[in-house]
Amino acid sequence: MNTAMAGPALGTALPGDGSRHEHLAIADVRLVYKTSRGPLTALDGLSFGLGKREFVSVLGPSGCGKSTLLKLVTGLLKPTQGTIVLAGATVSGPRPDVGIVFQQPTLLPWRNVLNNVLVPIRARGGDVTAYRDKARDLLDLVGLSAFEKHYPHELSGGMQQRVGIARGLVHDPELLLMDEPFAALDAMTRETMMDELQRIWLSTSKSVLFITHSIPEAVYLSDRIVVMGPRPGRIIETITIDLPRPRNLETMAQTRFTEITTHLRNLFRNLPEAGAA
Amino acid sequence: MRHPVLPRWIIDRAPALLYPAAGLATLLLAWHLVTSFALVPSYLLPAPLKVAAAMLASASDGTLLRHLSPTLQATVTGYAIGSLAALLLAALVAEFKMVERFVLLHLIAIQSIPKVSIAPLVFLWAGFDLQGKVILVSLICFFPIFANALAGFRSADANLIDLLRAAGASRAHVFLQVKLPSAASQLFAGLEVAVAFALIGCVVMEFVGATRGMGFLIQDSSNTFDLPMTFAAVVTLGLIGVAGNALVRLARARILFWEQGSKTGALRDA
Repeated sequence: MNTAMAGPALGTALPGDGSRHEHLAIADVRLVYKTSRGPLTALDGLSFGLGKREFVSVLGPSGCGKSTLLKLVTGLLKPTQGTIVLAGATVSGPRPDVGIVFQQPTLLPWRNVLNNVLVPIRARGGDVTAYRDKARDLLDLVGLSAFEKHYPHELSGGMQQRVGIARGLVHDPELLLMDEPFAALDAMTRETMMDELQRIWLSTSKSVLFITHSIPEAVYLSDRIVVMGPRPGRIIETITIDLPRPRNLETMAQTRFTEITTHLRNLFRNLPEAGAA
Repeated sequence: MRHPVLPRWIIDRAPALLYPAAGLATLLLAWHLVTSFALVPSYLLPAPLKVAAAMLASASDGTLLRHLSPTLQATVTGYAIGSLAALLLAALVAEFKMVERFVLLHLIAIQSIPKVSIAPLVFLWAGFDLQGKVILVSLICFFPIFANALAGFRSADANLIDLLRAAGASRAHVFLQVKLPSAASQLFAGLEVAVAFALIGCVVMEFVGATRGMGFLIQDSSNTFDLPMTFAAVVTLGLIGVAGNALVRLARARILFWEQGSKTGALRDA
């Protein structure tokens, strides 16, 4: 193991965590799906925290239960064992104080950009007019203010994903959950979007739980990376990323950046084959 | 480039119109040649011009309209009832597990019965007036629309539904805002197929027993070897089918405006 790395301790909180207010606390969570072939453990013994304004990535290969984790945090699934506490209250059902951004933009094709951003407000029966200005500000933030009357099919994939991000923020959630939001984009757009997300995050002061299987993406964006292994999904390492902010293209050329990414690559190379089961 | 005589819209659409028109002309010409060289006896296959003459004559003396109006009335009514019932039941099956358990298997079983085979029964129960025809037409329209609508409701994006549920949306809200519009595309495919099905149902009922209607006209004219009239009636039904289909497609293009754009190029990232 690369000894240049900080804190390779298994599943333990790192120094620095305790000083922050815990916004999201996942404690000893286990999730077992009932399937036709018997029970399937998707997550086991999962514990980690997310501080206020912290950007934490969950990094892992497919099959490590990343998407299950997302459903647990939004309250769409209940853990078989363990607890999830968000902003001081145990998650026991759908939580409106969470914003979600998916891998696909998942916009409503029959609604224009502005109305797509307002979808979460409409969903909870809120007063849409009161949020229209907020939605416009967010479209401005993601660089789409000229497109509020456009329909999704008139936008490129990257633009659609930006609408998705604005929608995730419209009801002013404290926590933004992002499930591989850039995985479906081409490499160029992806780099632009990484920068965009950093800028948006720095200017909105949200906590972000970012799920990804891209090592550079996780290192570039995160304060901390929770590395997960597959079947059942569990934490194999937690790494604090001490690269200064704001990060930019030069950051990726730094030795420190390369050290961390190399360490993570080696970590995954030594994992048992994910699809073996 | 501007053509000196023809207007722009004709030039733009010329290829789209020209090829089908040429295909039709070839078919008519072949038909004409077959009959004029008496390759098939004229009492079995009338000449296209004779069919056209019979069509014009029956249209001008009111025969065609007298038979067309009950057929149209029953077809449209049955189509409307069958579609609404299918949409409603598909929504219930998609939304309520209990309803699905009670009815889905039976519906699948009934679906495999050729609906026209119960025409004599419907005739006995409901007679040959509007009522009987409407029953068979709505029954025959029901299945393609039901199957498509159900598949459509189930094709709604699960993430989108999760997002709305997480935001606190009611079930009705999710259904109306996501599931129903998501199903629209497949629903329209079902509605298109059902147009032809509706006409079949109506004509079959009129074969079984009627004193008016296109089915009656076809049967009556062929019994008296008035084949030009039979052909004229069949062609008219074909035209009605094409028109009905065009109407559904027009409605689809109007309502599902977002479908067309998704096929063409999108903007690029700046």
